[in-house]
Amino acid sequence: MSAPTILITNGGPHSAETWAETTVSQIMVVAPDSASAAIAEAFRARLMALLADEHADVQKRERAALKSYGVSETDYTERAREVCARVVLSARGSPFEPHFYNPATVEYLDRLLAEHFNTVASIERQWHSDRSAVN
Amino acid sequence: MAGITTAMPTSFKSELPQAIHNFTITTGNVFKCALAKVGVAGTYGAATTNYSDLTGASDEVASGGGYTTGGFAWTAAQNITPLNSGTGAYWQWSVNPSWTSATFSTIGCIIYNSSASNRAVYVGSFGGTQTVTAGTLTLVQPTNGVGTSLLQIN
Repeated sequence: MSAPTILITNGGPHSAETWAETTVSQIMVVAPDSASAAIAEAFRARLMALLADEHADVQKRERAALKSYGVSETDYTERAREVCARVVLSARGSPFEPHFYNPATVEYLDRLLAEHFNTVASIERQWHSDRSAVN
Repeated sequence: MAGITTAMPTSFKSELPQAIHNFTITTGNVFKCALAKVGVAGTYGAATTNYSDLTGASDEVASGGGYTTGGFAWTAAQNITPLNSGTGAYWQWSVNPSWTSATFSTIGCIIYNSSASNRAVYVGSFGGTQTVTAGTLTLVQPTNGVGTSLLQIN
């Protein structure tokens, strides 16, 4: 049986960078003794930057919606598809292109990104609800 | 010996062919994830059958500090309908359980079916005490696939 990974952030929600790290860790693992470790690390860094921006954007959208309307019911599944396409595109011309253009990989990325984006949104809503209850 | 070990409850295995659990997206059952406190009196693992095992021994994290007994509730819309690949089947949920404004410590979790008399479907150890202070604790599910999903039959 597999076990979940525990993510803990004291004092607030997880940062976009923490989420990017978590998402990328479920997309690729770079073996230190890999012959192409440097190339893989560079690609991993590109993914980290892309996903940190995307997670930050989800947080920003949620915070804006919650501030304006008090509620948000946005589902990020469609957004995940768009980001998935960008992740796949980012592998073009790299040694990882065949893997990322594999339909099974695309389907997996789609599900993973939707799961993480929707969790980020859910956490923002929970924090908003907590703060509203206090005030 | 008291403690918590990651396992699929044996009772769950026999309940599956009895169609007691339904993990179908939207139309399936509602599942919840309850957290175990530090220093549990009971022993949790494959022999765990029900959420009441945890509450009966007063081993759940107490309400307060961002935690409410019963735990995190997924909606049926957040079920992922089981998939199969090769000779295995696998499934989990589309959102990771999170607790916010959280101040507590925990050592593990029990996932149970609140639509089916709170029967246990998963027991998980966190590998030690996990403490959060005025923050967020999230259980990030593993990769949803054969050999890796939170719930799987191979």
